[in-house]
Amino acid sequence: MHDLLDGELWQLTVNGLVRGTFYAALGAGLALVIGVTTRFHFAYALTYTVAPYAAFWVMDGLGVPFWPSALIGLATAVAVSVLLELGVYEPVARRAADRAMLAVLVTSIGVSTAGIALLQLEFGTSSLPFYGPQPERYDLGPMRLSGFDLGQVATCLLLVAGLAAFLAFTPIGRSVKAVRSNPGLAAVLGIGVRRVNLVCFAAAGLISGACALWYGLLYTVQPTMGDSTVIYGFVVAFLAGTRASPLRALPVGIGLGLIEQWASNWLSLQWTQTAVFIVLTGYLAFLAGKSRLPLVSLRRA
Amino acid sequence: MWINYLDQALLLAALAVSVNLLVGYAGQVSVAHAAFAGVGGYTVCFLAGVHDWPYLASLGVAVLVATAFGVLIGLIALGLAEEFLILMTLAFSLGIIGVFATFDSLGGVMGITGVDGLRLFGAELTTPSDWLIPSAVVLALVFAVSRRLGESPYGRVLKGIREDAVATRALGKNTFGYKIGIFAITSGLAGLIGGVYSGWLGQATPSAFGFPLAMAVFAMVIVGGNANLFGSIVAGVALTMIEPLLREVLGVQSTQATLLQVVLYGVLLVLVMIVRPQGLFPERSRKVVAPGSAPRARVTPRDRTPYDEADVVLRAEGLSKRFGGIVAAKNIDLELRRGTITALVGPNGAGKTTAFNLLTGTVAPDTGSVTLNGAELVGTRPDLIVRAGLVRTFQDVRLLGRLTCLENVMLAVPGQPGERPARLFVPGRAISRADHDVAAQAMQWLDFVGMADQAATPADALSYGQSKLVSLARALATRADVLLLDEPASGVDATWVETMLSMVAAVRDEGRTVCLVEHNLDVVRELSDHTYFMELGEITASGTLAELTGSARLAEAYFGAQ
Amino acid sequence: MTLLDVSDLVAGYGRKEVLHGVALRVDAGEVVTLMGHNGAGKTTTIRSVLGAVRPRSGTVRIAGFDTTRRPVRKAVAVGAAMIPSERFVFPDLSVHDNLLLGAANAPSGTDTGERLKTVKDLFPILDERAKQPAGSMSGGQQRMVSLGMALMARPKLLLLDEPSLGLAPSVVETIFGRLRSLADDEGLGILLLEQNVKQALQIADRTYVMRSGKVILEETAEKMRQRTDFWDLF
Repeated sequence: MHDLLDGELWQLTVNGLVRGTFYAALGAGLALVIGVTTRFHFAYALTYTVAPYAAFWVMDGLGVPFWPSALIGLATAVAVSVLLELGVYEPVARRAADRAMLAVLVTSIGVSTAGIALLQLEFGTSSLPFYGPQPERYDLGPMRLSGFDLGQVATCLLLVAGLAAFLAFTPIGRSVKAVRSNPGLAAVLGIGVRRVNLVCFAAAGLISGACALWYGLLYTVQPTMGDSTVIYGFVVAFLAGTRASPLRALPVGIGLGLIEQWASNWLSLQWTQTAVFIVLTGYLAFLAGKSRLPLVSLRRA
Repeated sequence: MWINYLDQALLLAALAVSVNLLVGYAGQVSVAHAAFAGVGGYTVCFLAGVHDWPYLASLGVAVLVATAFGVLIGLIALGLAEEFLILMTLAFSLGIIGVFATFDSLGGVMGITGVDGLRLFGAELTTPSDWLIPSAVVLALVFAVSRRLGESPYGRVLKGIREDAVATRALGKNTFGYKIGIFAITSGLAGLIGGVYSGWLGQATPSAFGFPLAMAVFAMVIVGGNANLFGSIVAGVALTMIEPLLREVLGVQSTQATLLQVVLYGVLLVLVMIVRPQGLFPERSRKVVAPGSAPRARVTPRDRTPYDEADVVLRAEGLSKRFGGIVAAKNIDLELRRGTITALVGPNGAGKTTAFNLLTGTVAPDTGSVTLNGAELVGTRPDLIVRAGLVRTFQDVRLLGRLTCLENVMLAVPGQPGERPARLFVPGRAISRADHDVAAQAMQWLDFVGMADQAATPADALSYGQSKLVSLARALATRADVLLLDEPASGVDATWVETMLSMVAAVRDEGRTVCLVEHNLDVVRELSDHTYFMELGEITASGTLAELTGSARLAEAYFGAQ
Repeated sequence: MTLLDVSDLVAGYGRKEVLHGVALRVDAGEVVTLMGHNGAGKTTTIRSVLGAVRPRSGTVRIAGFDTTRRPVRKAVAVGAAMIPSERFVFPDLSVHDNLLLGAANAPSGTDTGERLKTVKDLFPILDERAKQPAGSMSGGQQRMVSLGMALMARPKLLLLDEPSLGLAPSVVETIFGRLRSLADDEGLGILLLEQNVKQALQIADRTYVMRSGKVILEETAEKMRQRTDFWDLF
């Protein structure tokens, strides 16, 4: 009995790590967009969902093999992400001037929901038969892992590390950091803020697409798959800091993944969805408490 | 069939009206109001449907529960930056729907279905036409409440918060309290609407109150126009009717029509945001009554007490503040004396504005104390400091751009009964009479600074100099005893500088106390009874201006004698 | 040689017009001050010169090239560099990265390594603190970083918005001294926006005074120094 519980805990821990890197990558991509462009990019859910749908479409409709299809799915996610910035966010933000954050958030929710409705019109509202190559299975003592789990972890770690390296070592990455740090000064130095924004959206599109493809292989592909994922992305992005290094997203994402999985040992499965909300509420309550504390001092007495 | 859609249209329009009150007037963004409607819907279905409570009582509980959630979320997130509120409401929407889908007693993922036979005031509500009256009543009620709140002194404060919360707080308004209040009120309204909506549907399901509903409501608010409640009703009804039109007129299949409607919402939202961001029906501003022939505020100059004999009204001792490694203020001691003008001079970046921030509580000092008529101000909320009689203007003016000059000044008038939501619903004309009075007062102050003819102009259309004059009128309208003026004369047209000087002098002669930061030494020479010199966060000298300009070292540092 | 030639410049934000036909000129080796009260349109002027604010009409020529309504990148590439009055470094990036960013749009053929060496020779402190985040330095040192950043692009024309803001007089003197020698030794043209009028006049050759979006006076610095009715102009 004791061994069984122990074994289950190990399995949950492994699951938590797998999930955690996934959240970390998603959070890092979203943090880049929010930190640099200040766009509240809810349609991250759309670029996420679009990748497996596009891959499915070329695989099923045109008979293309899995891996090339996956690449096309990725490219679609990147393209949608970039087009959103070019065709929607940038013009909306320009028109809204000082109320850009509200305007962009609202349009973003609109575009995302509308885009997902379009997918449903085309592919139906139920889940898609999205299958790749047969994964291998690995048994490590009490824990079980599939090749997809490993592939997802490796991809996510690679994406986060790659993003960090891109920011640290390339001239474009330096421009991105410059815009994030001080957009006014960057503009005066002739650093194209528009181009930097597009780079960030491309990177975020890539990350969301890659994550979604692995998720699709591991679980299911359905139209609403992005809804809760994007919230996890937002929470990781804000907890890790939208202006911090992408590497900061790793501990936060993994922590969240572990909490979620461990919680499922004691609570019913659906409760795990609220774990993220509780973590976030705790964090914000802490922030709110910190910012109000100085005003509570009892000097007036 | 069509009546059923009409029910839905009326209820969604009501939801749009309540969200517009929050987003359009107060400028606070919440994705969670669809979820608050869900809280109301579930409460009603659980109590009236499963436990056979009377419908009206369960609606009451629905309102209370939704309001409670609203207060809780507001308390946590409304004091933080805007993006945290958005994040919190997003996560709440997801979390609460997850919770609904978890409890077996709430029907799990299927939700509570088959709720029927609800009765209201003895009438059974079964057919769509039975629901028409409750839906219309809810819309009328929500509209009446929202309009009363929005188009009142209370709504003026909300708009002030939307335009510039810091400037609004600096006029003595408890902005955090107002934000919580409006968040709670609109959550309660959403709970009510959700309760009726679920009653009409006969069910409460997790998917009914998700992001698509939030998005539909946003589309209605944006298309109808920010801060125009009538527009929300028009857009709410029109957008809801898209789906039946698709089905009945174009013969689109039911599920397809629902999806197509969502797509159209999205397209519409983007188009409106780019082509006409103010929406179809733009915000209206208060009509300005032509300035009456009210006599100008006559000042009877009193015998001026010499500076040395005047009472100290405000005293700061040992104020210090560090930001990271930079010392912004170091051990500042200063006194302001009743009925006198004190000037704070020094090079740009010397910390004069920081000193104002510390005195007014905008920035909490690390150490030191500030007393106003003997009462300690450090640790007091900034809006209470203003009401205690210490007001400031801003160097960058900070008028509320989309409000008219008159509204800007009206906002500053203290003690308006119409700023309390509860008072707005007391029958009688007391509020509107009081508001008339406030408008007349504001007009007098505008007239005092010579800007009465611009009363109806939106503040963001003024030139820099004009906006300085209006900001002076706004500060005067607070009737605060002590005025801190940050560069009142800079940028004011040369012909107006003289007038500005005489105005400030007149304020002093009224017995008020003035402290000003000014670069123009002629202004300082003309006005000030006493001058402090600041450099690098410290007060390094004080005396009359002549004494200061006479000092060789200061002349070198700032006045720049050669 | 004329490095900056502005005529009939009209610009503004939203529905407000801030500049109503500004004309000015800066020659090589010249320090020119642009004075006027807050809100007179000085900052808008140099931002439109650079292209950060889009002029509504008029022309801007930098080092002989017409850069009117061209992106900032173009103005930087033909030799203009601007330092804003506030927030003039990237606080969370290292001093080294700050300097490299200054060269992001340097004219083609600029040797970044050589520029880096020149700048670090000019301000040795920047070499000592190369790894430190710029935001952790003192106000004066941050000014040095910003000046170094501007010089990285091998500019011919410097546009400086209140470089004395928040600095002790002795530091201002050092920085102004550097500016004077950049003009004298390297032939840079410098347009200096200053509230610190008297100190600025010490190093200036010529001066413009603005009020309400127009240039109301052009005078040599020498004449200006002799004026006593200074404040009437503002």
